[in-house]
Amino acid sequence: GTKGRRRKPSLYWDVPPPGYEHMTPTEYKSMQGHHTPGSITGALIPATAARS
Amino acid sequence: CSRIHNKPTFSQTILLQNLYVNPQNSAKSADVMSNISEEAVQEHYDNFFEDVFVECEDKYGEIEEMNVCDNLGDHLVGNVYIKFRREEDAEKAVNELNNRWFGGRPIYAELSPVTDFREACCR
Repeated sequence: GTKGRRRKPSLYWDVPPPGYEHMTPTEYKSMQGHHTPGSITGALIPATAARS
Repeated sequence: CSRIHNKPTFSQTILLQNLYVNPQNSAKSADVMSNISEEAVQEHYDNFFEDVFVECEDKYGEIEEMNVCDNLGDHLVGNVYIKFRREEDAEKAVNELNNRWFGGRPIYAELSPVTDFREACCR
């Protein structure tokens, strides 16, 4: 039931990473391996990107 | 710190690894740190704290204490410790939180040996 304690809906809970909505967090973690969470969310910069 | 911490079988306290992302820390890499005021950081933190506290207490059980590590130690940063009144609640919370998302990331939850936060110190 609603306890009415929340001032507003959560910004965080149950928000999956973009593109992984079809996965469970458990599947996602086993796919990533357990390295430091947070280091895996940034976009990869291609090593071959032109610099000039 | 050896970082080899004993993981208890039963505990009232759970650890959520790196759950809190300080906007200042994440902004450093983006080089826009100066755009974030102290007030905004505090408000962000307060919202985060309340969000986690309310959700966990509603879903898993009565919380005695909750702490968020805001230091910059690489393996401690953003760690959230929640001490439940009952061990069963802590166990249930770990099991269920490990299969939930939080802010676009999976939650890494485990039982923690910490029972007294004033004694807690990573040596």
